[in-house]
Amino acid sequence: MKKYTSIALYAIGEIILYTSYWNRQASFHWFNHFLVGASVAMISFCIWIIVTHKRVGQPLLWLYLAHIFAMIPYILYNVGHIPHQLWMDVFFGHISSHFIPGRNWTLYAIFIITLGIYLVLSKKILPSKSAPNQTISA
Amino acid sequence: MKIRALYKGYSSLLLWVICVIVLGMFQLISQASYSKQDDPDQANQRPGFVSSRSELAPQLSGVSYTTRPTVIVFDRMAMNSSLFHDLADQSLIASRANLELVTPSGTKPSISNGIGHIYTDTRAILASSFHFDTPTDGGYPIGYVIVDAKGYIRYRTLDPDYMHHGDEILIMLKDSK
Repeated sequence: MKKYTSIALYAIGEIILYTSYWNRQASFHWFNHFLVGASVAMISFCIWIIVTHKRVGQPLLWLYLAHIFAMIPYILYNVGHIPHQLWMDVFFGHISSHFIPGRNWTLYAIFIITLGIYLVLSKKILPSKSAPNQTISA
Repeated sequence: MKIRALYKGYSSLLLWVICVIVLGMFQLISQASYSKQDDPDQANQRPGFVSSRSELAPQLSGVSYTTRPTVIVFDRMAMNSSLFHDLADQSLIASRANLELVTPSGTKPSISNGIGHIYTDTRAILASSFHFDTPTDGGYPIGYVIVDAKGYIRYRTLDPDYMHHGDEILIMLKDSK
């Protein structure tokens, strides 16, 4: 139940962010910063699993925070009326990430690959929750 | 029982496939919603940052770039009552910059207060001299250019909905002095 609540809350949070971009005719930018933030989160999760051999606590929360971090210049732009500047690349490449070859489709591919690696590592390295039962039945 | 066991064995793969399909479809649908007057490369549309002083703006007759920034709006018709949806934006922009309008037919809004000059660009010569990207439909560009007080192009974007984005022009003017 807790798992489904987390998924629902995460989905609502992303819908709120997407709507804020959509209202500004800027859905391209939502994808851009979501995909960058999510890819960075996945890479961090992988490193965490390899180093600690433990599950990532609240992965959806971290995923959301990574997205928020990637879009901080967008918040500054809309709330503080501060134009983007090149130093804002510290926010997960907020400026440069728009201009990579292939644009958002390249970022989509990177996210899908990093998600795949994270799922494989989770399965291979982390002990399965149902492992004791499987051992008994074997 | 077999289905449940199968699901447990392949739950990660299933999750991955769902993400691939849902996110891919969502991105395709989002792309299909772009206007035909938009820039085909969305990265170049409303980037939100000014460029360095590397490109001098072509001269416009009757406009001096050296006193203050200049906002040059390009549109296909501009036949609304005012250039910007919020008339206050038109006044604010005109108070901080020269505001010029270019259309292929020379049409102008009925409330043209604050607009310095209205240029007729029948053969799109002016539009091409400002090097706009070609909109998806291949037509005349709808958007604007900001030229700083030294005569350099600092911001150029296609924006078919510029009339609702007066606040953005004001933000970009901050870094275009």
